Amino acid sequence: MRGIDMKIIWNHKTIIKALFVAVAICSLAPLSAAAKKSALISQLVFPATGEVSAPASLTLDLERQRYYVIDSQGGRLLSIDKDGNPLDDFTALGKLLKPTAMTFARPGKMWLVERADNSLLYIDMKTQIIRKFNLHGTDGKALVPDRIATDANHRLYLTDRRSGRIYALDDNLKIAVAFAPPAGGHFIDFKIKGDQVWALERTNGDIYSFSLSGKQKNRIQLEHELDTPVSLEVDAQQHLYVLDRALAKIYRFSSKGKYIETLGQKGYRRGQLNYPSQLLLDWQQRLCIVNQGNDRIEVFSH
Amino acid sequence: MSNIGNPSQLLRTLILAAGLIAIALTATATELCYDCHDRTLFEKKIIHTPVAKQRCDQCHNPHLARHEGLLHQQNEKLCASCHQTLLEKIGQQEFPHQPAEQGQCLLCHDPHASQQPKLLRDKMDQLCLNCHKELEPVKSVRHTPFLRGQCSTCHTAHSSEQPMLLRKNSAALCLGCHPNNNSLRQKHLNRNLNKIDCLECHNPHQSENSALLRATQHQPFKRGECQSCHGQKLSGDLCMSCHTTIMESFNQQFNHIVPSTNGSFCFECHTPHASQQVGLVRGYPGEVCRNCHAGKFERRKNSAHLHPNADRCLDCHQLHGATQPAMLKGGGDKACADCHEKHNNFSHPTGDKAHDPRNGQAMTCVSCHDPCNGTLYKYNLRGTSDKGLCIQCHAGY
Repeated sequence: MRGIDMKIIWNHKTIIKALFVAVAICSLAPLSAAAKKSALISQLVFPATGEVSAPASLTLDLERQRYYVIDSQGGRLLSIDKDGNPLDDFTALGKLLKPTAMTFARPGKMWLVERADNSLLYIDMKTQIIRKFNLHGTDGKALVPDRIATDANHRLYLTDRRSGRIYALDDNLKIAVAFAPPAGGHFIDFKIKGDQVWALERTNGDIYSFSLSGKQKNRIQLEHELDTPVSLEVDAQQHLYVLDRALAKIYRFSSKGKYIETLGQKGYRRGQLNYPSQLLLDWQQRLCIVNQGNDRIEVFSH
Repeated sequence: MSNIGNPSQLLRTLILAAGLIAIALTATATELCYDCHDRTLFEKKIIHTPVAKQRCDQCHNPHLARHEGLLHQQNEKLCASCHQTLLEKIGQQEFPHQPAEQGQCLLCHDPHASQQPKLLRDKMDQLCLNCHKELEPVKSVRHTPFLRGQCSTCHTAHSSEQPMLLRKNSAALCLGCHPNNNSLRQKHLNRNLNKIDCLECHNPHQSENSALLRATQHQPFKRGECQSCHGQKLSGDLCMSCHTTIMESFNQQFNHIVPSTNGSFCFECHTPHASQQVGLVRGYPGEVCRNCHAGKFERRKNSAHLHPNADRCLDCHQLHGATQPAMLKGGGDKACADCHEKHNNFSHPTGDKAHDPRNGQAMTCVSCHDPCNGTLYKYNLRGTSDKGLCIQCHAGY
């Protein structure tokens, strides 16, 4: 009997111990998830060292698998092939002064932001004919275009630095739709994915989704404190990526804003980020980062 | 005899006797202290409670201790044994006084006795001026509390939820003494005085101008031509109508064109009336920068070595626009060379003479130093100066 009693007591202890271990594991699991930090693996670096100082932005040609780097200080655009090799550079016969962003209009045509006078340029690549437009808001104030993109119907969208809004323009470059941030906020970046516009709000670091007609669909509050959010991306699974310039980090969230992981490390070496400014996903769903403080674009897998 | 024999009675007697002996010994011990330590130093108008109660042992160990002065603990840890609530409050409020935050209680307070209230080491104005030397009273027009050395009329000593350790926001503070009446309102274009930041235009200490107006004044304001601006629609174009070429300085790859809550983005950083800073920059140095770059100011708190006057952002950074990230003046080196001219000549080669192998850029001071965020290493170096920093580029070092 004594031996059996001991065995029962031993079993109780074991059960209690097992419970403690289970509780400990359960309590540690969310911690380890919260602290999850994946590595970015640098796949491509371009342009060549010393070629561009502080690249202004990057544009992708998903169909032809090309990268376009905007060299604001050099007054030119550089086209790069899918392997990171230079193809061509484009200066519009020396007429570009301080270009900061570009997007494709119709085939062979592009829109370009000219910071020298905050104008919008429409460029025919073949003829190199440039048309300049100075845009104004409905209140008559001059717009200061910053990020630009086009949707599947070639409609032009831009962020306005003065108002903090995103505007969709009609064929006459009049404001057709305004995407307004909350009071006191401003949209710093946006991406058009199918029939949705995703916008990153700078002050609170929230992400908003809109229909193309400007109706707000969602406001997503991210489960992570951000310092200086500057760019966002949305992948095919609707994971949200937010680039933080001051912390030189990329945060990945679920479509509902639940924190998943932190990517990136601050520094100067290859694979490290210094004053990163823009985030894009290429045709292989790799993260392309304008690594402005290191004078390069880096394409990462993770 | 039978009473003494009672065990509980015996125990009570023993405890009472022990207590009396302890009190007697303590008193004797304090008297012993005065055999060597000048008694007059402890007999001033205001005496710290432990001293008054002759409890030297509350702070000091008479035989040996780990800390200088035979103290039980160092600095604020010792003070916290009695003043815990005060120290907790300092840690919780947004704007702590630097010595209080660093636990340097003895910088302002005498731990034994003082002729001044709150055991202050000196008269309040003299004490404050020991550090705030820029407030030496030299100008002709002086604010009455400042003239009387009553710093605590407007400021708290330890911490505050308001910048500059103010007791309230500036309007509430000023209207406490200056009644919100017709006369005052008329001088301010009948604006709602409760919503005005008085400190934007008035220096609360001293000035060479009447009404304590700040030194740097917008020309129309100085000339009393209020309607030249107030008669027009408020927008950035209003500023550009006089400052016609200023927009060119913004039209750079990196710039401070920001959405405005005040009608013109200029007003995010500049005041249209009067300022203590050149260029009519709002508030105290770094104040407007903190509005958008609060994270940087927070991170600095964790740095062991930070550049002196790091809050004077405009000493190194462009305010409008620049061609490089961080908007440093002259691209980097010039910002440093303005003050460190000699160092710039004999130090590690920079510019075209040396390229950083990590990213191919020309070396600048900030390749190795991080004066803005501060670091854990001397001279704001980004790594240890003996080896850790250098081997990043010089592998065989």
